[in-house]
This record gives sequence, C-alpha cells and structure tokens, in this order.
Amino acid sequence: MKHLIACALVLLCCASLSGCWDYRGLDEIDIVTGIAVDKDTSGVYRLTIEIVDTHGSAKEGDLGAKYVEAEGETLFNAIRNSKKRLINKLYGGNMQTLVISRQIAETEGVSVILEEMLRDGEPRETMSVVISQEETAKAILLAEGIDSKIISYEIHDMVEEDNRVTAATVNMPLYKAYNAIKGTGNSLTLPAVHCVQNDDETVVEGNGIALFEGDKLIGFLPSKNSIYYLFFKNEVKGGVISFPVSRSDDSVSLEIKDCKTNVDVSVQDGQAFVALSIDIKLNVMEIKSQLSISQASQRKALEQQTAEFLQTSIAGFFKEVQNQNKIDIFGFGRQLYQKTPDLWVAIEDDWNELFQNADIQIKVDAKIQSAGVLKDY
Amino acid sequence: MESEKLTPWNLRCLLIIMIICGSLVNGAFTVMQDTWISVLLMAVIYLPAILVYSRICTLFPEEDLFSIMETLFGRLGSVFIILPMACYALIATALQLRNFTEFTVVIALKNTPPIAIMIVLMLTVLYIAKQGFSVLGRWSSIICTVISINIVITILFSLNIMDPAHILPVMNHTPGAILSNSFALGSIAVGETVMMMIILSNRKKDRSAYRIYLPGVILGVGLFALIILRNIFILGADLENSAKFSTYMAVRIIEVGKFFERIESSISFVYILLGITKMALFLSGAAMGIARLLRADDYKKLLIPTGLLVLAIGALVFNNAFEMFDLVWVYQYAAIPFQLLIPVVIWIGAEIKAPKRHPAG
Repeated sequence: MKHLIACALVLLCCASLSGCWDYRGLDEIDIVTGIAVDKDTSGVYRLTIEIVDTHGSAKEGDLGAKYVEAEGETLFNAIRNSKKRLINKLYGGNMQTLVISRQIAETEGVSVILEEMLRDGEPRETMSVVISQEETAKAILLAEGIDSKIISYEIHDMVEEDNRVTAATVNMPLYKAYNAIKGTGNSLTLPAVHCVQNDDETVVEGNGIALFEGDKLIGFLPSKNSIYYLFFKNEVKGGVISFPVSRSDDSVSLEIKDCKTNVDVSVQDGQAFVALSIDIKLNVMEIKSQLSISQASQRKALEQQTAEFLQTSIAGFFKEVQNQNKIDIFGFGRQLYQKTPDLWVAIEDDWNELFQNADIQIKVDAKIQSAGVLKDY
Repeated sequence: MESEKLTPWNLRCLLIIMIICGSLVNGAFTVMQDTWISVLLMAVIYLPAILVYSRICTLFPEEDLFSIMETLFGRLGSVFIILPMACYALIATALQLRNFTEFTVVIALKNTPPIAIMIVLMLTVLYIAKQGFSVLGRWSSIICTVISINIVITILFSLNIMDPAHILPVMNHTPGAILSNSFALGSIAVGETVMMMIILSNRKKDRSAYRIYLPGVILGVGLFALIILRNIFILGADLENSAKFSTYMAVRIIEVGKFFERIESSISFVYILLGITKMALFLSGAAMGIARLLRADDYKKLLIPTGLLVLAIGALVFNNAFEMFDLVWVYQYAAIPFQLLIPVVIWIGAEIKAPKRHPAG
C-alpha cells in the first residue's frame, strides 16, 4: 500500500514539476525581446513587437529577430491582438527594451504604459524604457544592430553600460522609472535614442536624456550635457572629459576612472541652495599640448584646470536648466522631502519657482591617477 | 503524545517560520517607508499576548492547548472554547492555503486551476502533519536555515542596487497609523503563534516556555524587518507598496553579472515551504481540536477529513484576489477572540487552578 501511495505521489510530482497547465514547449512560444509603442491619429495603439527568430541555427549569435505588428484600443488589447497573426503565444520574460514614441510621451504620458508592463508580471522590472526621437518608436526597433541582430538587446546593453563608458544618457530601468513618477518630489528622466547612419546601415544611438514633468515629456537634454546631469545624480562611473588647456587648439582628454558626488539641497528664508561636491579620479589619455604630466607641478595645474572646467560647465548647465527647462529635473525635491518632510509640504507648490532661483555652489576635487601605459607624452 | 521530544531550537525555528510567513502578502503594508518600524513594533504590541501564551505553557508543561482547556473548564465547559478555537485553526489554515495558492497562480502558474495547486499543497501539508510533531520540528529547523541563508544571500547580492535613502523620511506617518498597521500585521504574523501552544507540550521538560517563545518571536520579527528593509531598499517605498508580493518582485531585480540572475525562483519555493510548515501546524491544531470534541484518541486519523474541509473552505472563501487582500482589515479584529480573549480566559483559569494541581508552584 505504501509503495502504491509513493508511486502515486511521484507521478503527481511529475505532473506539477513540469509546470502543470502552464507547461509550454520552446516551440510553442515566441520570445519577445522588445516592444515599440506608437499611437496613430485615431487614438489606436500600434505596437511593433520584436521576437527572437529561432528558426535559424541554434548557435548563439546566429539568432535573428522578426517583427510582428499589432493594433488595439488599449495596450493590452494590442498585445493580445498580435496573436491573430501568430501561431505561438508571446512570452515576455526575456523582454529587455520598451521604446515609447515621443508623441505618446508628450500627449498622454508614460505612466499607463509602465504600469501595464509592471502589472503583467512576465516582463522583467529591470528592462530599459527608452524614448524614441524619431517619427515613430517602430523606426528604432527596425534599425540594424551592430553587435547583435536583436536590436532590443543592443539598446538595453548600451543604456545599461552608458554611465561607465560615455555618460551620454541615463540608465533608468522600468522599476526605477515607476518610482520616479510616483515618488514625492522626484522627477522622471529616460534615455533618448535616435537613428544614425553607420556604414550604410541605419543604427540606433543613445542621444541624451528625455525630461519629464510628472509622466509627460517636456524636452530633451543633448548628449553633451548628459554627463553634467549624471554628476548631480551620482551616476557617473566613467566617461571622457575634454577641454582646451592653454590655447583653444591645445586640448586634453581625461578618462573618468571613478567619481563620487554629493548633493545637498536646502531652503532658508525662501531661498533654495544647492551644494554639489565632486570627487573625481582621472587618467590622462590624450594630450595635444606642451604639457609635461610627469612633473608634479604641471599635473597639479592640470588637476586645477580640470576642476575649474567642470565647475564652470556644470554651473552653466545648471543655469541653462533653470532658465530653459524651468523645472527641477534633478529630483532635488525628493531629497528635501526625505530630509525635511514638513518643510517640503510647505514649499511643494512653489518648488519649481524656488528651483529657478536656487543658488548653486560647486566644489570639485580632481585627482589625476595615471597616464595609461606611457610615462609621459 | 509524541515519544520524541522537541528541542527548544526546533520550536524557535517553527516560531520564526510562522512569523516570516506574514511577509509574503503585501496587503497589510500601509505605512510605506515606515513599514519596517511597524514590523518591529509588532513584537512590542503582541508582547503581552506572547507572555500569556508562555505562562499558560509553563503552568501546564505537559498538556497541549486543547487538553489544558478541558482540564480547566471540564468536559462540557471546554466545548465552548475548544469549538471556536478548532474552527479558527481550520479557517486560518484555509486562508493560508488560499494565500499561497494565489501567490503561485500570480507569479508562475497563471493557467493552472487554483484547485489543482491547492490539492498538491494540501497533500504535502497532510503528509507532514501525519508524520507528527517531531518531524515537523526537525523540518522547521531545516527550512529556517534555508530561509535565513536565502535572506542573507539576497541581501548580499542586492547591495549594489540598494538605496538606503528609500526609507527616508523616517516616521513620516503618525504614531497612530504606524501602530495600527503594526497591529494588523501582528495579527497575521505574531498573533497566529497562539497555535504553538498545541506543540509546546512536546518540548523537553526542563525547558522554559518563555525561553522558547521570546527568542523565537524576537528572531522572527527581526528577520521579518530585515526582509522588509531589503525590499524597501531595492524597490523604493512606492513600488514596495504597489506590488502584490514585494519580496518576490525585489528578488526579481537582483542580477549578479550576466550569469546569475532570476534567483526569484528561490524565493517562490522558500515561501511555499514556509507556508506548508505553518499550514501543517494549523491543520494539526484543527484536527486536535476536533478530535478532543469527538473524543477521538488519535487526532492523526482526523487529519484527512480536516484537510478536505480546509480544501473546501479554501476553494470557496474568496471570489477574487481583491477579497483576499481586503480580508486583512477584517482579520485583525476577527482574530482577537482567538489570539487574545480565549488565551486570557485560559490564563486566568490556569492561574486559579494550577496551584491546586501543583502545590509546590
């Protein structure tokens, strides 16, 4: 009798371990890697869904992508409507990139789309959400990938590693984007991407940062300014700083090896103050001047110049945001709310005005660490 | 009664498991970034109840909850408290069964009929309950070790994505709001340890019930707070509050390089194991109560029918997931008679009658 029960239990386990009713063979699913969301003038969502083409060789790297388009009154409806054109069911567990058209971001905002992605449960919370600067979001997804045939993976990796290499955009995964919209005093920024020509092919390039008020797009930061924005967020982990050292045609390029920033926001007597201190470590990578960095005095001078250059550039950038964007894109309000919640309640409604007149103090401590494999230049 | 006695560590592990189980369902978290304070305060709010449970078990070291009831209030009188207590154990098991089924359906098996999951879960619960308390105790210490390792690993792996600023501003909710949330959370996590009284009679004789209850509850609440802090540090208070199962969501975000991701499956199986353990204790409690009412000698013979009853209640109790989450607000009050009133009545009765039984004190 005991053996019989044991056998029955083993069989039952087999049934449940294979995923019960949810068992789906690889040949029965279409693995979604990315979705581009557009909306036409009649208010219908038009989705372009990138799925892995598993019909080629099984070797990694040979995997290609195919696309299915779908329409619907709502996002979910559109996703389900795609099934009308497919045999297999879509599987979103490997989705890496969500491209949203700038029109949707400007007119209706992104929070409904982000919430639907989180609610679904299948897509991962760490996927990248990017804003297309092209006519449509679809154009981004249909571009060619240079390293990968699956463009969604390429965009995701590019965005994720950007702050360690070029600091040209911001890395804002889905769950952080949701928090940025919902969090008191916070503000959302998303990576912006556009298409460029490369070796006769259209490829995707990170191009600055999309700025939001609430969940609606209000503008873009050009990619040259992105690094200054990232300094305020303490997210610069790499990148390049280039500036003229003596004459305008004598320049130096420094690679950021490590960077720590600290921002302190305060409000006193109706005046906001921002204190930014940057502790940055750099390597000299390119010198187009008579500078001799093997000499301590010249190194010191270069460090001094770097600090001054950063101070001037960041101050200029901050002024530009105050005058042109006119809203707190840095989420300073969040810090005020976290430090002094009572004060925040009192000034919340006037915060953007206070921000526009905020005083900034920037302290930079630049340290040159090395000059690559050469001793001097 | 079991021949093999349980060590204090086994019992403390079972207590820890019962408390951590409460961290699964997010419905009761209402004070955003201050939830961890609510969790810590649970131990303080429920301390009197814990002391009452410990005192009862100290006064009657060799009797289980239902036998104490009968000793104190006689055959007829005890029916009026054994019956509601057995019903409470029965319904609480059904609610837990439904919770864990809902968890499985939402996170993984969307197309599987919930009843199939319930049956599989119930079979395992029945098996553990049937093996008796000594197995349950030893099983608890294994599961407790697994969950502790799991918590430590997930915290270590998520250090790079944690943002401690997420818990700021601290105490941004009124003390009233924090305390009331603490009370609601405690009714699920700490108050349910009332059922430990059915198993504490199996402890080794010289071990004080206080020394089992107090460290168990403190460790359990500490781990619970650690889980909540980890979730808030990873997700931020807003997402933590919006997620149905925030622990699961927080762990989904952990990625260690490109190779080690998707460790959320570890969380889902650990939670199921926790649930199975807690349900096995509650089911045994319900069966023991019913056995006492029916004058049956061996409660284990009643486990299967009780299990079937639990299955039926579990399947019918909620129409949808919203009702399940809303229940938290009713449960905190509905549980008062079982977690507080009945134990207090037993305690008073015990204080009056116990000295007569044990003249030495």
